[in-house]
Amino acid sequence: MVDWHPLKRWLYTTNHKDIGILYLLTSLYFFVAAGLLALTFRTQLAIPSNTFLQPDEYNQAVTTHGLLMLLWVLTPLGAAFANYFVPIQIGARDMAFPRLNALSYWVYLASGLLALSSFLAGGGTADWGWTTYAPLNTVEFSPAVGGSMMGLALMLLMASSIVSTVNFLVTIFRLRAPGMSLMKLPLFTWAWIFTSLLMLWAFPSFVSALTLLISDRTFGTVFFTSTQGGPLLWDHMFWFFGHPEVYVLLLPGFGITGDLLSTFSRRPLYAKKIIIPCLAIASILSFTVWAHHMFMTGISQSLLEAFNVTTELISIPFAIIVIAYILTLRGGSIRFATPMLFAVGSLGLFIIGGITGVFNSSVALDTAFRGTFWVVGHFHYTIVGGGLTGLFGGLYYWFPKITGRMYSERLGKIHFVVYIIGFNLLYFPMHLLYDMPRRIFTYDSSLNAGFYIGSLFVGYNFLITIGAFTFGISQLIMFANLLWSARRGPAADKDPWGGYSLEWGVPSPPPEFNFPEGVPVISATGVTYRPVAMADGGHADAGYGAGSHEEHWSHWPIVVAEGAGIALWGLLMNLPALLLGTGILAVAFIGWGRETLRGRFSEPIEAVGEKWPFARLENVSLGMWVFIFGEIAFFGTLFGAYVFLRMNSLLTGFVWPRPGEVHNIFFGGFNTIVLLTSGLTMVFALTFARRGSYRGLQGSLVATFALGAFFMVNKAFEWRELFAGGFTFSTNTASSIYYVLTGVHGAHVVAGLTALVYLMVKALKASSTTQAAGAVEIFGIYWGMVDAVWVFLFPLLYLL
Amino acid sequence: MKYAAVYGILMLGLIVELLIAVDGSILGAFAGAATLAIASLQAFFIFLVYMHGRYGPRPVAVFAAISLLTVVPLFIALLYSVVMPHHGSLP
Repeated sequence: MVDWHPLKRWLYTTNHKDIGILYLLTSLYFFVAAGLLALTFRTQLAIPSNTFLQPDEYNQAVTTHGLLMLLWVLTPLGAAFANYFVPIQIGARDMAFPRLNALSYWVYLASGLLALSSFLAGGGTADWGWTTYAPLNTVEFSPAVGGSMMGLALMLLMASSIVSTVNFLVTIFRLRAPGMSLMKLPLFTWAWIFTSLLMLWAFPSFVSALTLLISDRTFGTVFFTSTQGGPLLWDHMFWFFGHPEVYVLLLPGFGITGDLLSTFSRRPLYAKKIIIPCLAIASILSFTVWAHHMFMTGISQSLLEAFNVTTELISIPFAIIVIAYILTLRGGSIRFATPMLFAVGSLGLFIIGGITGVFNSSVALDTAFRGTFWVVGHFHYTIVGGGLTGLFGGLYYWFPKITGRMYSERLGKIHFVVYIIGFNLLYFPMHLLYDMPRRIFTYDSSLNAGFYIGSLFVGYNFLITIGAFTFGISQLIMFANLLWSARRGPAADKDPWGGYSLEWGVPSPPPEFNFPEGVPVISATGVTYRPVAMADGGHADAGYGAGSHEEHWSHWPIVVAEGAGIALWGLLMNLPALLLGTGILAVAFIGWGRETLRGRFSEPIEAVGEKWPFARLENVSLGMWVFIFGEIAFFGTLFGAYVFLRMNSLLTGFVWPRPGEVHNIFFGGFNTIVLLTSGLTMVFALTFARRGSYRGLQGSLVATFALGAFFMVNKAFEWRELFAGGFTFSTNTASSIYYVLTGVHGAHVVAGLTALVYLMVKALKASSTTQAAGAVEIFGIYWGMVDAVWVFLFPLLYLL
Repeated sequence: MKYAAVYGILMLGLIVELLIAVDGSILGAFAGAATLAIASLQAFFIFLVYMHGRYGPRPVAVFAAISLLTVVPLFIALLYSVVMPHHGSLP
């Protein structure tokens, strides 16, 4: 008889530490895949006029390497540590929304598998480079369906990240242990707060851009093939996401580095009160520098100057942090254990990446360097040097905590030495190739720069390839070390490093609900554990609310992810698969709702602790607000695209349809009345729920649903009429943006109607209306957002 | 009562928008700006009353404002990219 229990545990778990381990293993799997792709194209580039890869194969390898490393490796590797350690570091028993946490992971995995499976789609995968520049991303230049599949995979990944972001922000702001003020949080948790905020506001912009791209590739809209849109629109939307993304990749590793420098020099982090504002300033500035990636695109001189200045400005907070890190070491009793070696290595490599970055901020220098291997060298020093190296330091640092066993220090140090040698052999010579174009699959001997050792010519490209293989081999040492040590390493104490954050006060590995001695209470004198008053007035002890492991299992997150993955694959490849995936999704959402309604899923009970500045909000309502903030960025970017297309039409000679020429403004106005009235009935529902009027609550919810559905029926009717009149997806940019904006808004209405059904069932089953009031209020926030978006869409699309 | 009042304000705004769209000559070049200003006011009232932004803690409003401000640079850059003369690609 096979014991399926261990397998079921990993498939159904919602525990943050399990999810963290799943993120860790999956991101390392993608790390290997992306690394092998890098070795493939570095082999191609080792010598001039090589034919190891064909141009298409080279382009696909480079594209997938970049996308995997940035989005499926580095960010999730940070998320792995954040999942495992942020709840412990803040003194919580789990994340605020454990099932959503599991959903984030499974959707992440589904998106990665979808991305890799795009290789198998006819014609291969995306071959346009990780920046997905238009018009290379259009069907004309990249007709393979694998490109669209990669686009959908990216959208799925972004959805996973945004859900994860909501979860982390609510967890950190609402679940901190008593006495755990924000300033007492370890630097890694602080770095993850800023990482989450960056993801919250930057990732929706990429989702917007991908929405337009997928729409172009699948439905034939003309955003990136028309003169009103084109490459410049993509560049702005992509890099508005792309540059903050650099800090999403950097900050987790950078935060870990700070904590490691402090722990291993046995000194408090120098000027932590300055480092945190610097992280905040850098995060804000990261939204004002994106066009330095566009110095050569022909945008106006004023913009170049502005972005030149903001880019130079952003180096200041990082310079301050680097100085603070170095001063942390001064006078310290330093131990060069493997994590510390990686921390110091990360700092050194980041300094090189930062300095070469200042070169790139200059318009004049960027003119020379743009599109050359210099840029490749710079961003690898920054992201791999500053980000990945710090994360590897974290991997060694927390390995004993996660596994309960020590790794081999000797192998760790060998890994570090080979890593640093390989890294610098790989990336430093790229700076010397400052006149070699980066986006070519081969080159002739005239570009084969290098140097002589005696009479032997050593090309920089050959050296880089040697470095790549050395770097790759160094990772094998790490994998061998960690795999062997996880099974055979000596047992680890609960605090082998003398760490100061809460995870070092619990056993290695931590028990299921983290704090076996009770709820941690943080005070000026240290940490004590004691029973703490719960929100319901009771008292908690060490075993509070633990229950059995299975009570915190849910199989719906993996089913939702499976349905989403199959549906998106089917959307491009196979209609039955699309229907199957949609069916699975429908069943999964119903199952999820039933599981909640019947109380079959039990969330760990949290102690009453620090909740500033969101003490007056419930977890779910704060989660909804955070989600709405992301939606502001999403729709804001789409509105930005509308404005760009509209303004550009003046320059390109395209006559935008006048009000009333295409759309019936009175019909649109009528539909606006319908939607706004549904907003009124929704707030009436809340009023009735609070007053205890059961009939009023039910009536208001039914009215809201009916009005929302009527709005959608009208919209469908309007679309049909417009199509019949020849105003289709591909008629012009005005039609394209109309269908995308109303389509995306309509999708939000449909999602809302689905949630309304759940709400009506909940209200039916609730023993009192006040029991349902919380859910009604939270849904009301969402429905208000749907209304607020429409009050802008109506004038933009019908009246102006 | 306040919900009905806000609903009245939203409807009034809608009527004024439609009137401007039918004949906005009295506002001249400001017709478009006036319409967008009305839309902004409508959204503001929805946030304050329907979404209970006013009755939630102040951080919600601050967070919402920061979210809005985040996309402002993108709007400015997009507009500048179009409105300002292009200098063409550098050599």
